[in-house]
Amino acid sequence: MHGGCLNPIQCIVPPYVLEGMVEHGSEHVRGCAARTLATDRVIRAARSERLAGQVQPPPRLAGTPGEPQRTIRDAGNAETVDGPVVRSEGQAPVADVAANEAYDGFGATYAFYWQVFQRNSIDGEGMPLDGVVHYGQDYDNAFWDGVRMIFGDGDGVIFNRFTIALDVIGHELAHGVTESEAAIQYSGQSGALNESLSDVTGAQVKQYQRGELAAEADWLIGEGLLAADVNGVALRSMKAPGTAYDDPRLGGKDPQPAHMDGYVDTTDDDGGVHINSGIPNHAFYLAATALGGHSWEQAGRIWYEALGDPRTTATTQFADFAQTTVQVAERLYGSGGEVAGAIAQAWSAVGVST
Amino acid sequence: MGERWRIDLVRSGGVAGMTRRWSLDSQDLSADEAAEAERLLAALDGVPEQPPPTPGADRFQYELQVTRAGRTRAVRVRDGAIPTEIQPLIDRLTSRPPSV
Repeated sequence: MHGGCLNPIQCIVPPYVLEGMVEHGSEHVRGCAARTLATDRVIRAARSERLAGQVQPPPRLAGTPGEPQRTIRDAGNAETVDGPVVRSEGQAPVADVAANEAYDGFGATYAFYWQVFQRNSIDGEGMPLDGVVHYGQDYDNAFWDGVRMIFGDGDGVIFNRFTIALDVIGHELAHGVTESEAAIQYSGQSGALNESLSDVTGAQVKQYQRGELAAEADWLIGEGLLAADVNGVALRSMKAPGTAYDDPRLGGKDPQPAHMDGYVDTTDDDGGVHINSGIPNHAFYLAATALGGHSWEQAGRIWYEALGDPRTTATTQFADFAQTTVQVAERLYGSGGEVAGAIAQAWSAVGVST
Repeated sequence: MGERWRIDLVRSGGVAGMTRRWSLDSQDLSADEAAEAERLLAALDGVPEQPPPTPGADRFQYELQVTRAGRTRAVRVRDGAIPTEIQPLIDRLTSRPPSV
């Protein structure tokens, strides 16, 4: 790196200035500023995490493009992100199944982004992939905390361990990508879009690993996560939202709508972000199956580029994103062409006009 | 024994997006249990009604609603940013199976 103060540790250049440099600077300055911003985001996230009472390991430098940098920690059934490292990049499998599943799931998701979209990790700049397994006691959740992906063991009665499903691992990592690209806010309709983008990615990661065609995939999210005697097959179905489970211990029937007519207004779940995601989820399923082939070849690329499009912002709603996908399809595959038509039709079928 | 109160806890969100509910009614408790729960409840007094912004996605969201003498107070908190003083109350409520 030539001159200038672009080391984020010593640098006091504020992020909005760096953003200006990324936008308007020379090619070299743009590259440096973008890398600094990426590191800066990690540090800022770490800072807010510390404010929330959790400890953050120091950020590390990005590695070689095309090679993930994975670190898996064991929380030892405490609600901490600071447990010992149990497997790091290049190490052989360990005895702990959850640690291996997290490591392999990060690897499969990294490979998907790199091989299909030429994206180098969460931030496009080789951000290390940090995971925590065995978080909490009988903890029925997995989440993205703004810096890393965290997995509970499940209670063993209703939920199995959360690393069991590759699409859930892909879902969590994709939250980091969405945050990095557009920071779509996590509430209401924008939040449901954010959620859907994670399901859309998780489904593609699973299909990519299996080499499945869109037409032969199950389009389930979280298959294997529900314990054996629970009446359900997964957390969600993109093919048939609302049909993944029906069990009183899960609060009844899968509440996801497949159409805007069923949009749920609620204050729970950040405004029903995991409920209303069924609508754009189903649009993606319809688009991918209408286009044929593998989901990531056309529909997946269009959704990915629409996420990175400057029109996709913190407050983007379903219809905004739908319009962007159609415009991206026209740009990539021709205006008024079959692909753009299939995308518009998929959105129309779920009640979102483009 | 003090006046009657009831507390309802709703946990929503999480990657599974499934809502669970727990409740505790002072009438269902022994005098000792009620007194212990009263002490945990007092911790809610200083907690703001809305959670601070928390980074990330798929975190659990908790809504605690306390009804006492016809008045209701609701507090929302988010996993990873739960004020330490009310964690024992959440643990007490979630230590039993949810009603749904």
